[in-house]
Amino acid sequence: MVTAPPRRRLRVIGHHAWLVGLTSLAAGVILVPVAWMVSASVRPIREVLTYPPVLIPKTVSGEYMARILHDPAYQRFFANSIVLSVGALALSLTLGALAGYGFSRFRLPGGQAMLLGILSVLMLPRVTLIVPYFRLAHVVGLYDTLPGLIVANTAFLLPIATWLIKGYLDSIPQELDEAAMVDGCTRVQSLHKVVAPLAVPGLVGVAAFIFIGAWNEYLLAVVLTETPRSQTLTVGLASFFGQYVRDWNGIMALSTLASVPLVAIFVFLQRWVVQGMSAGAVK
Amino acid sequence: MRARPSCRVAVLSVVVLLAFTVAPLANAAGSPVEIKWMEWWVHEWGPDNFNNLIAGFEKANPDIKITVVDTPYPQMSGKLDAAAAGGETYDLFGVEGSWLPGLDKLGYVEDLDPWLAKNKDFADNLLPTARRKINGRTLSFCLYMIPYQFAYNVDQFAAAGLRPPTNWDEFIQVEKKLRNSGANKYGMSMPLADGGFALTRYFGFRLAQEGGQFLDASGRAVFNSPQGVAAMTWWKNFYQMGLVVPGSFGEDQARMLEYIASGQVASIIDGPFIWSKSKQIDPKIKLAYAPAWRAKTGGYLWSCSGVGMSAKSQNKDAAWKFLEYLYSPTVAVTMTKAISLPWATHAAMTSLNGSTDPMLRYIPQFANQDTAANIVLPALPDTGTLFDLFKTTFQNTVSGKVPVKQALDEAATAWQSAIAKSK
Amino acid sequence: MNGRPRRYAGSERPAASPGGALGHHYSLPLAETPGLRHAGAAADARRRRTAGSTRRLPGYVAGYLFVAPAVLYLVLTAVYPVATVVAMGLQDVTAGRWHFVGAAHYAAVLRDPIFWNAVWNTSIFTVASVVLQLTVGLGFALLLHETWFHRGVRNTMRGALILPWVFSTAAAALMWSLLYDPYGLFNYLAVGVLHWSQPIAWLGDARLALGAIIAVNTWKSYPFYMVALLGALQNILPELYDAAKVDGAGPWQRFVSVTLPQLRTVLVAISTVDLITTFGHVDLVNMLTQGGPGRATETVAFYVYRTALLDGNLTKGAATSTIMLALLVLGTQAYLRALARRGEPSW
Repeated sequence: MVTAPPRRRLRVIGHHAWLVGLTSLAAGVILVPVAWMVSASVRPIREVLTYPPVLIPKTVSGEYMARILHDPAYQRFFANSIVLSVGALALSLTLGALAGYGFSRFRLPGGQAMLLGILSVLMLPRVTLIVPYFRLAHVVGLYDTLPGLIVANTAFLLPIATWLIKGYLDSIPQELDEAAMVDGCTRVQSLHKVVAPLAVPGLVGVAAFIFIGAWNEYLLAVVLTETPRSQTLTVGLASFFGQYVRDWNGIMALSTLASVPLVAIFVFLQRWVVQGMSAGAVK
Repeated sequence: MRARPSCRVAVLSVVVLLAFTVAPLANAAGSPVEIKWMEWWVHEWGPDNFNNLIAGFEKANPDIKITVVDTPYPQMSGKLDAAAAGGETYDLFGVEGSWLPGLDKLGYVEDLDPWLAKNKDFADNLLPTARRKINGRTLSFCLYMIPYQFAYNVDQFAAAGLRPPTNWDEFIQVEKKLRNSGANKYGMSMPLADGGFALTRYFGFRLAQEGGQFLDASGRAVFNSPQGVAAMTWWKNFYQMGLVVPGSFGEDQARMLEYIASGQVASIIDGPFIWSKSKQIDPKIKLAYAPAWRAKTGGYLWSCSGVGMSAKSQNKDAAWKFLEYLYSPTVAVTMTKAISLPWATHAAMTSLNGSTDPMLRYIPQFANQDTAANIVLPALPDTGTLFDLFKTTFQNTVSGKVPVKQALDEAATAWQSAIAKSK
Repeated sequence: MNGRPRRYAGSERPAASPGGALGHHYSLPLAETPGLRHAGAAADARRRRTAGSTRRLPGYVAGYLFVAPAVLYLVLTAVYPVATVVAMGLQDVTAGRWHFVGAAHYAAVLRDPIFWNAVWNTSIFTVASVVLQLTVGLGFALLLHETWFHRGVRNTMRGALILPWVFSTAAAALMWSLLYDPYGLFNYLAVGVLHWSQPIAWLGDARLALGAIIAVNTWKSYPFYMVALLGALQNILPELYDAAKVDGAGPWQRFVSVTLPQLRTVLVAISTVDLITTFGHVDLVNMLTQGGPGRATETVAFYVYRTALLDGNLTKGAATSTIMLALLVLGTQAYLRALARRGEPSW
């Protein structure tokens, strides 16, 4: 780039300016509500509710976040949310990757019906599904337990994982793994050496979706639990919504805190994507 | 090649099966009887008030243990339905009148009349309006009774040189003055996104003061009566004066409370809890009720949240004992004072006479100025649908889309058919 | 059925491009790509298979083994609930006794004009949301896939732009209800800064409310497309763009003839899932408008919510749910069929 002739260089700079400018402009609009939420988590809510709006916080206070972080019940909610999301992620991603590979690489008799059938649990509104899930959880003794929440959440996340992973694998040329197999690799080796590295960026997107889905899942968490022992952050969040009044500071502080791990994970995964690519078959 | 996947199948099956068999450790059958009480009040009342309430009972009844299942209000009805259809028993549960018909269909709700018959003191102390009846059976007791009335921000009224209105005409005058005090400035907001809200705070309040009823003695929907038309016409005229914050049709109750608590508006029509709730947003705010109003009558509309008992409970005697405690004069008076919700007992109402609380002190006046004209929103079948229908009725009427009489007739017909079907 | 391989974007067409850039999908000239291991053998593989050679194992047996754990899991955890809901819709309950009523609930629901209004609203909500999310998400993915002057700045931007997604829906809906409020930020710009005489009642005006909810839903969910497509863009081989460039294709033509076809299977998968979850969406409606003003934002899922929970009529709610399931099965099939390439299902 440095050695490029001046006209070319101007064009490159222009290209970058256009990219960055457009993205920043759009991001500016999109991040207004986010900024407003974060600011509502560190200043008294009456300052957010006043009109005309006070854009620059007059008072900044960590007390709302501190109140949550120091509350043992909320510490427990955080821990439970992590266990739930990791558990649901591990289950959905493992089963979903296997199934996605199966649906993508084999022409299975009845496969289309199965693929569509897998989605049916997503096609029913959850407000009616909670009734049988409640009963099921009681019958198998998983009511008010974290394993129960993991199992139920995975029932909704696994279909999504299967579909998305299948979509990704379909976009990876099948000739690649076949070529490897012709070269003497077993199917598992070709999966490991050729398909998996190429699938990593896609899997990261799916993993993010699953993790966030489990992290923010709410209805199942409320219905299938009743003690802080097994309740998650979303239940803690719901308790800030009262019959007559909502605790804005609590809601925004908890939501901001709850989003921190997700952003951290995303940043971490993104780095991994880059590594996965450079270590993969294509370079 | 074949071994790997099938091996995973085996491993995963084990994981799934394990997940199914990890049952919570069943607690050994201890000596105290356990009563499960599902409700949504721990945060509403404050954890301290709530814990004191439970501790007081357990101290007096060491053989009974109350297990509280605190559930967020928006999910209460869903969880109750799931429990009723899914075979889980909550011996006692907080309940709105509107949830009772559905729960009753599932055979989940105990008829409380036989229990009341056994305890005359309890029955006498309970306000007559506090019995929630469906098809002649009492399925729950109101825990607290809420009237709706005009309240105002004391400091803002003083600054503007306004006095609280003592009747409906003064109310309009006050709102006009507040509206004229600045651009984009309104005296109150009127949330109409929720049919139940419009039905109680606005239509029902004025209906009582016109001398009307929702249902007649035989349970027929009669709110399209001349009194109903007069009540609705009053609100239509009021709405069309442009005195309320724009966007009523998309505004909910919580936003209305935020308007007054953050000083955007200076007045409100709602229940006695608004002051303590507003203080959660602005600890320094001062609200007060206007003295009782009177139109054709001095009646008020009362609504409530209540407590019910599960028909499936294994420990009904212990559960009843807790109800007796909950409605006992000491508890009623203490709780009324602590959480600004008038308990549904005579003892609680009497204790408010001579109260210095700027909201609670007027409640006996609302209750007693015209007892015959007081009305209660009845427990209805298909409440969600019927309230929703009333929302459209109210919105269409005040915006002038549908004539008052026609809109009320349509709504009453729909209500009547739902009521008839449920019998 | 012998485990025939699936095609990917035009892989079995000739790799060279005699017809120029327009209307042509670029595919990977495998045998000529030096960076690809085993690539030369791929051509052999194809030749051998077309010559009729068989695999070491009948393909579908291995395929079923891959699929089995997930299917087994869903049989264990989802079949009973789904079946229960369907069965509940055929029953009614009085005083705790369940009895069969056949299609009575179905008839009541299908005759209800309010239900059909909800179907209509949901269709608009779903189509608009999916199209907007896809457009915005794809746009950002393309912008953020490019090489920026500084990788750190780009990656920060990637992180910032997923923020709407990671915040809880409840908190986001609450904040948006305030932004839309007559005393909110948007109306402050209109009334306070631009001196309009009246604030806009975004959620209180029947003409605006559905659009306002679609905007929030798009804001909330586009990052999913963005993240998923960023991953998929990584897998498009630069050689394809080079080939298109050689043919003189401009940026737009490269986008249409290389990027889109290569993203196709991923886009189909994401949008299908999105279509289904958006159709069943209820949280935003519930928190922002409760279906109003009038019935302008009432969706099918909200109708179910009201019937099952607010009315306490679980059985009629279950029947409505089953109708929604049927609508979605038909809709999904139609959608996938419409996207299928000629002579081959897309999924």
